[in-house]
Amino acid sequence: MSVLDLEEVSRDYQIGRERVGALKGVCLRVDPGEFLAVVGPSGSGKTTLLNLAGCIDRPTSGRVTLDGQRCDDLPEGALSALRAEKIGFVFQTFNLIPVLTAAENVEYPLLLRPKVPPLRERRKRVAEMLERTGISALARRRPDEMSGGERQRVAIARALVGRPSLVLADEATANLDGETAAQIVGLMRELNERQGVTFVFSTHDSRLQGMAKRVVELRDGLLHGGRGC
Amino acid sequence: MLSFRLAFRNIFRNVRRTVLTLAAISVGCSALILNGGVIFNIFRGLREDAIYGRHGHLQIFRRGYAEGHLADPNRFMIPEVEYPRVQSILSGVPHVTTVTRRLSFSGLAQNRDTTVSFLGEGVEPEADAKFHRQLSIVAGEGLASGEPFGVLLGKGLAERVHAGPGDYLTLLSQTTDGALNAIDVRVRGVFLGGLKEYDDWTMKVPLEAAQKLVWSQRIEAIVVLLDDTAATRAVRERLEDLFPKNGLDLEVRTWEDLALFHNQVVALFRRELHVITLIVSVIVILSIANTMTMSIFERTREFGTLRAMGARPRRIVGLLLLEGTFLGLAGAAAGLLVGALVARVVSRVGITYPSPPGSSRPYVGGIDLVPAYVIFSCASSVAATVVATAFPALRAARTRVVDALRQ
Repeated sequence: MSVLDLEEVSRDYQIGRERVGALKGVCLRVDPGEFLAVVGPSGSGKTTLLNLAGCIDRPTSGRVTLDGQRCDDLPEGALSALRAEKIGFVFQTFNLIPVLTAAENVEYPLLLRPKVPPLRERRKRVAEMLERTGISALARRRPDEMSGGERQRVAIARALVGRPSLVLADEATANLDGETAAQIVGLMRELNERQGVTFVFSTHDSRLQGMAKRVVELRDGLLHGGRGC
Repeated sequence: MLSFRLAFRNIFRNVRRTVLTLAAISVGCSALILNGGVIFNIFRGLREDAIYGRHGHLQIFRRGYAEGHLADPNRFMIPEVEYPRVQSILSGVPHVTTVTRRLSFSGLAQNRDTTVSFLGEGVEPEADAKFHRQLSIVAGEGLASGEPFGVLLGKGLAERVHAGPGDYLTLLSQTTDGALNAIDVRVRGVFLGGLKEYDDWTMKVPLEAAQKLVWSQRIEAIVVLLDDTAATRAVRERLEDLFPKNGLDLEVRTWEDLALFHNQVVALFRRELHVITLIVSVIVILSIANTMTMSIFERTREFGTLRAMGARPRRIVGLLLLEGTFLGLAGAAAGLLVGALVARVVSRVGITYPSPPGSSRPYVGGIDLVPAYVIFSCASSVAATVVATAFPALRAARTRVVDALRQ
């Protein structure tokens, strides 16, 4: 069973009186353990695709299925629960909570799950994720006391702490220098290979595309090399 | 717990803004505490006036006195023989400190060519002093049991009858069986009792002389002082239980039953207090609504992130309301501190009010910190902060996740 299935997914936006199609009948199937890069120029629809895959937006038409569960027609409450359990997000601007330490930022998603793990279990998982992302020493630091690369490692640890089926990283390296960006993608790849975490990340950096196991390209809302449908 | 920590730390994100918000809340809170404190001080002054200036804590009358004494005053007098029995009962009741008898009457006072009407209060000289803490002797000296025909005149009455300490007056009144009677008295002193009408009309006469004037050994009321005003109702209930058991047909009325002026003023000021609380709460809400909105708006992307991670809208609202509650509590604590400090200083210095209507002297008041009202003021400030937070919080929670992340 695939982790993610997009079937004939379209997403239109109303801009003034004009209706613009950001995605046009996209089909994409992502299998467990994939390390998939979505590439394409700015405005090609990468973020829209990842938003729909992450169930934070709804398609104008088509079906989105996550781990065998159709999610495009789920009510908001059920979507929140689904996201908390099955999806991890890594954002371009890290989006860490500035007043929490690295460890607390990593712990927070566990509190949002319908069934909150007990404190001891949470601490164990947080320590494990900080260890795997190589930032154990930064556990008590706040985001403003860390470099961009370190912050993104915290964000990756946060995305993975809930053991999601799918991690979505939208331009996760766009705010980092070339070397750090390569390290971050390397880290994601390593977690993918060691733990079998499924990653879908968008990038317009051609050097990083080479690190993906599979690359799909979006151009003018149309997907090339997507499989499925 | 982490949510509490998050809410708490968020307060310190923008220190300058937080300080401004706290200042608005604390000023509102201390304004409520101080306004309430002034009013409760006035209440206390009125209560003390009512108890120690006039009514005592309790008054004991013949049953039916309240309804019938105006039509037939003699019917509702207490026979003198019952007084020792009442005294004996009162001596066994906790909180009772002083007991005295009173007999009121009216008559004419004549000083050479001047004759004026007056209201007489027949009192026991020594005990009565304890019931009149507010009364001050402005000329001469107070009543003395050693001089049963030595009287005190209210300042206004003394002026009307052109008499002062050492002068002799002839008092005329009706006896209980309708005849006219007269006695000669000597003016021992002149008093100010606080209320102008009281001072213009009242003459304090030793009970012995008053009983001789009205030609009766009966008394109108037995007045009781307690050591604790809060015990008034309990003592009344106890006496109403004991009197019938001892064959006494008496009724007991509290100072609250008798002090109608006090009750009306308190009711009026309580309403005013509620209006002021409402106005201050609205001012606090308006003062901080803008900063709360700004603060929440700046964090839209953060809420989008939390929503993307699975937080439900109600969690965002809860988090922001918790922040509002923390801010409100901190502001209320600061307001309480400032309010208590100002109240202490002002109470030490005293606020001199001009003579209230009907009063014959200015009133020096302070600020009373009544625990229940202080808690109410703090709770109102916290509630106002939470209300000011609620609207932007609901708006933030309703923002679509993708829109919030785009901010």
